[in-house]
Amino acid sequence: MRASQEGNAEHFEKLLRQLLPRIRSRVFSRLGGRDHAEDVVQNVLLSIHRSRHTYHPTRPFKPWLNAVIRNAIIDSVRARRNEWRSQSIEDHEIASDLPLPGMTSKELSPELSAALARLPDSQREAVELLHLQDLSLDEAARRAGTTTGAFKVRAHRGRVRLRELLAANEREDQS
Amino acid sequence: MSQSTDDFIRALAEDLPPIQPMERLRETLSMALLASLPLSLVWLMTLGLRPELAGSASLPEFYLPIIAILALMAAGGLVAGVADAIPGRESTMMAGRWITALGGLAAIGSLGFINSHEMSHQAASSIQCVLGTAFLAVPSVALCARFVARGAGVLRRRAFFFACVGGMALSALVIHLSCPESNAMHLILGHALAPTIGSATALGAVLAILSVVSRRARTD
Repeated sequence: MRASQEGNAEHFEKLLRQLLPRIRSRVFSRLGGRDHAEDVVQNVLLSIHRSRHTYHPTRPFKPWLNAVIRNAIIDSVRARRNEWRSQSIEDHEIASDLPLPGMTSKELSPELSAALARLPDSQREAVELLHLQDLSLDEAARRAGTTTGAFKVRAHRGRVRLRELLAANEREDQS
Repeated sequence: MSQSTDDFIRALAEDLPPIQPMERLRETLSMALLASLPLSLVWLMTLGLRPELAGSASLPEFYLPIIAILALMAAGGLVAGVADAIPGRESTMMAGRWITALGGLAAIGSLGFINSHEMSHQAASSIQCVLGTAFLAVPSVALCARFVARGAGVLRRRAFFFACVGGMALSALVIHLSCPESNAMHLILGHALAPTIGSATALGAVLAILSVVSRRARTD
C-alpha cells in the first residue's frame, strides 16, 4: 500500500488483484450474489483508489481496508435505493401520461401517424409495442431486446415527444 | 458497468499519481488546539479572567462541574469528528461519541436542578456567550471541517457535527473562564449548552444553504 501511495502502478495493480477475492466474498455475502454485485465490487476497488490518502503507513492495513469495503457497500446500496425511488416516480409519471388522444383506436389520425414517424426509432418502437400492439410492459421490453426499466424510459420519452409534436402541429394550424 | 473487473483494475492502476497521506489523528487534534489558541489568548487578555479565579473568593455553584462537562465534550467531539473521516478508526470514533454524549447529557440534566422560570431572564445574556463561543470556535472547527472534507467517512455531516461540538466546547471553556456572570442558569444555558445549541444551529444553517443551492442548480 505504501508503494501505491508513492505512485507505483505495478504494485497497486498487484495489490488490487490480491484483494479481489476477499472483496468479492464480502460483497456477495452482503448482497447475495445479485446481478449488480460485480458493479459494487468495482465501486469498492474505486473507493480503495480514491481513499489511498486516508491510509497512514504506521497504522494496520486490515481495519482500514475493511472500513473502505464496508463504506463502499453502504454507498452502493444507498445509491441503488435512490435509483429505485426515482424509477417508481417515473412509473407514476408514465401512468398519468396515458392515454394519448387518438391512440385508443388502431386507426391512427394522419397527424398522429406523421408525429410517430418523426420519433427516434427506439421511442417509436416502444410506443407502438405498448399502445398499438397492446403488449404488456415485460413482453414489449423482451421484444425490444432491452430491460423493463430502460423500456419504460423509452416509452415515456416517446409519449412526451409525441405530445410536443402534436401541440406544435396544433399551434401551426391555428396561426 | 460493462467493463470487466480485470480491465477496470488495469485502468485504475494506469497513470497512478503519488499522494501524500493525510495527517494522523493526533496531529490533527493538536493542530485544532493550536488553531484555537491565538484568538482565545486575545480574548482572555482583552476581557481578563473572572475575579474568583484570580483571587481567593469561592466559585459559584456548578462552575467546576461545567468545566468538566465542557472538557468531556471538547475531547469527545473533536476525536469523534476527526476519527469519523478516517476508515478503520471506528472504535476511536465510537469512544469519542460516547464521551461527547456523556457530557451533553450531563449539561442537559443540570437544567433539572435550576428554576425553569429563570430561563427567560437569562436567555439574552446566554445568547451573547453562545455567539462568543461560536466566534472563538471558527479556527478549530474550520481546520477540522477541512480534514473531514478530505477524509473518507460515510456521513460527512455527522463528522462535521461532532467536530463542531468539540470545537465549540473548547471555546466555551475560554468563555467560561472569562465570563463574570454567576447565575447558575446563565452558566448552564450560555456555557454548558453552548456547544450543543451552537452546533445544531450551525449544522441546520449549512444544510439549509446546501438545500437551496442544490435546488437552484437543479432548476437552472
